[in-house]
Amino acid sequence: MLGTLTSAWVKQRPRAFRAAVWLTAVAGPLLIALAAFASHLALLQGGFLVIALILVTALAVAGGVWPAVTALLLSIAARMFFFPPPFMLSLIGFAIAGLAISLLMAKVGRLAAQQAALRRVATLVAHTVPAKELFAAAAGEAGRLVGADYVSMSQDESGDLVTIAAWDRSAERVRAGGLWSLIRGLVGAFFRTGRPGRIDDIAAAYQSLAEDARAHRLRAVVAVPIMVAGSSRGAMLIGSTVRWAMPAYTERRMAGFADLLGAAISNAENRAGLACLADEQAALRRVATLVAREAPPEKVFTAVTEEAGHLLQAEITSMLRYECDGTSTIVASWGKGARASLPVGDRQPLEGRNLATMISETSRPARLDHYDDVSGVRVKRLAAAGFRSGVGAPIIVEGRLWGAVLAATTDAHVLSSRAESRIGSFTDLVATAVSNAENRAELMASRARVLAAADEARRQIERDLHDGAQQRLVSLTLALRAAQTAIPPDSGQLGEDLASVAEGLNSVLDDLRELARGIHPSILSAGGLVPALKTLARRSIVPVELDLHRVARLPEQVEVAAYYVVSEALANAAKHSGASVVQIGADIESDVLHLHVVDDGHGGADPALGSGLVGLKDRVEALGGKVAVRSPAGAGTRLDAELPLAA
Amino acid sequence: MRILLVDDTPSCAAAIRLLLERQGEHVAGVACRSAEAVELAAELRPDVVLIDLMLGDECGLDVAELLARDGSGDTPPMILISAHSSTDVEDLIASSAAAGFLPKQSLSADAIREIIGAEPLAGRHQ
Repeated sequence: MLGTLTSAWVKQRPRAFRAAVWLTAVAGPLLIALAAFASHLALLQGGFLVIALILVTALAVAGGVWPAVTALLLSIAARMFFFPPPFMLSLIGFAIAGLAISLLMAKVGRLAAQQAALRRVATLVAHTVPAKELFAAAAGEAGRLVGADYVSMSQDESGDLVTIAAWDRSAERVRAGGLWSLIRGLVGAFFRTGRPGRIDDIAAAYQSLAEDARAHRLRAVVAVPIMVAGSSRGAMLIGSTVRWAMPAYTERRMAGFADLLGAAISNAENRAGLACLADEQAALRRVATLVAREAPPEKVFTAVTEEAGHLLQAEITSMLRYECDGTSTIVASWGKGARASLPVGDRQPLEGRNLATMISETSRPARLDHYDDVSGVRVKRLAAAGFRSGVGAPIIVEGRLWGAVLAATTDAHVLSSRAESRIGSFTDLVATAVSNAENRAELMASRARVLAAADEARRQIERDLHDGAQQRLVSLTLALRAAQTAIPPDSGQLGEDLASVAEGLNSVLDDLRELARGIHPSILSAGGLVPALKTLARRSIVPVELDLHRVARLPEQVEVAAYYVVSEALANAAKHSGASVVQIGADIESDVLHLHVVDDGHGGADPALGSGLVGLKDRVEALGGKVAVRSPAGAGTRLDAELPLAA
Repeated sequence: MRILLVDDTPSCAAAIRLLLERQGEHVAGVACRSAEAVELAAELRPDVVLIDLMLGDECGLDVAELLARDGSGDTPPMILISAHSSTDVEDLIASSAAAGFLPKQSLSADAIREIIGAEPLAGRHQ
C-alpha cells in the first residue's frame, strides 16, 4: 500500500531532485549522528531524535514516504549504534511519530500537487483555450499527478470514442494506437455506465491483448468518464507500464479533472450553441424580412435554400413543391461554392426511398444518415455525385403539405440531430410566404373579378340605354322631322312649335349620350383603345399630342383601365394644371402596356393621387399594374402607368 | 335614289324609312343582319347603303367591310349611321370602307346626297 501511495506523486519530481532527496535521506541521519558523537555536545546528543524527526518531516514533504521512512530507520540504526541503550521507549515513540509524520506529510504534499494541477487546468478552462490544447494540458497534468505512463482523452462521437489528446511520460508522444483503440473498446463498457472502471492487469484479463500489451509496455488502465449534464460525453484513460500499479484513489483523483473537462465541454457547447443560435436568428430575420416585404415567393425560396445551406453546413440544399399528380418540382436550389445545384424546374415522380417521398408520406421531418439503399432519380443522382446523407422538413401551408426543404452533404452523419428542427423554422417562413402570395393572388383575382363584373354591368347599362331610350328618342326625332315635312308651309305657329320640340329632343339626346358615355365608353368596346384615346384627345379642352405604338386590341379590362386613367389625367390637366398641351404616350413592351400622360402646366398636384385617380390606382393594381404621379411645382405633371396584359 | 337600310331596331328603321320617303327617296329594303344585308344588296342593287354602327352583337363596320369585299368593285356608297354623335365614333369611321357617317337624328335625304356627291332633290321637296 505504501508503494502505491508514494510511487504516484514522487515520480512527478525531476530526477536530480529525487536523487538529492534520497542522498539526504541516507546521508542525513548518519551525518547528524556522527556530528553528535564527535562533538560530545549534550545538545546534539540529547536532541538527536528531535533533529532526526525534523529531517524525516522535511523528507516526507519533499520526497514522499520512502525517503522519510529510510531516514527514519537509518536514524534509529545510527542512534542505536552510536548511543547504546537504555533508550528503547523513546526510540519506539520516535519511530511511531516519524512514521505518522511521513504519511501525513506525503498526503499533504499529494493534495497540494493535485490542487495545483487542478488549478492550472481550471485556469485554462477559464481562459477558454481551444479544446485540443486544454485536453492535452489536462492529460499531462493528470498523468504527472498520478504517476501514470500514458493518458489519453477521448470524446464520444456518434457512439465511438475518438482520441482528441494524449500524453506519454516517456516520449511525450502518442503511442500504441492500435492497442488503445482496443482498450477504448474495453473501457467503452465502463464509459457507458457513466462510472469509472479499471483493468489492473491487461494481459491477464484479456489474453488476446497480452502480446500487444507487452509490446507497448502497457499493463494496467483506468478509465474515468467525462460527464456533461448527466451523460457521458468522453473518457480519460490512464495507463501504466506496471501491473497493479494504478493506486486505488486514481479514479477519485481523476474525477476532479473529468469534472473540469466536462464543464469546459459544456461551456464550449453553450458558447457554440449561442453563436449558432445567433447565426440562425440572423438568417431567419433576413428571410422574415423578405417575407414581410412581400418579396416574390421565388426570391424567398432562393434565400431560404441559401441560408439553410450555410446554417446547416450542408453542401447542397433544395426546395421542392409537391404537385397534385404525384410528382415534385424543384422550385429553388443552392450549392456550396462551385458545387452544382439541382436544376430548378426539375420534376420527378414521388417514388422509391428518398427524403421527398418520406416527407410526402408522413408530412414530418425526415433524415437519411446514409445513401446506401436509396432509390429515386434525384437522390441517385446525388449519391452518384458523392452525397451521402441528408435531412428534410415539410412546408405545411394552411394545414396541407405544400413542399419540403432538403439538405445534403458528402459526409455521412455530419448533419446534426437538430438539423431537421432548424430547417423547420425556415419552412414555417416559407409557408407564410406561400400563404401570403396565394392570398394576395386570390385577393388580386377577386378584385379583378369584382371590377370586371362592375365593368360588365356598366357596359350593359350603356348598351341598354343606347338600344332603348336613345333609339326611341332618335326614332321620335326622326318621326317628328317626317311630320315636319308634311305640314303646309303656311301653318305658322305649328311649324315653329314642332321645330322647338325637335330641338328639345335633340338636347335630351345629347344629355343622354353624355350620360351613357360616362357610364361606359362604347367606342372602347367597338374599336379598342386607339380610337377611344383619339376620341378622348379630340374631346379634350387642352390640346393633346398622341403617340401610340404597337397598341392593338388588348384585354378588355386593360383597355378600360387605360382609358379611365387617361381620361382622368386629361380631366385633371384641364381643371388644375393650366397646361397648354398634354402629351399622351402608349407602348407595349414585354406584355406590359406603358402609358404616360405629361402636361406642361404648373405642377404641384397632390402626389398621393388626391383626386379621382385613387379609384383608378385600385383598378390598375387589381390588374397587377402600377400608377405613379410626379408633379414638382413649376415643372408640369407626369403620370406613368404600367398594365400587364396578362393579369 | 334607292336606299338599303341596315338597322336592327324596328322603331328606328321605321322612323328613318318614313322620313326619307317623305323626303322623296325610296327605301328599297331593310336588313337586320350582315348576311341579310349582303343578300339584299346583291338583289336590290341600291344607290346607297345606310348601316347602323351597332347591330346587336354585330358591328356596322364589319358589315361595311363585308359589303365592300362582296360587291367586287361596284359596291354602292355606304354611310354609317348611329345614335352616337360623330365625335364619339369619328375614329372608327375614318379607317372603314364607308363613305361617311351621319348621326341618326341628323339623317336627311340632303345629308345623304351630300356625302355621296349626288344632286340634291330640291325640286321634289314639298
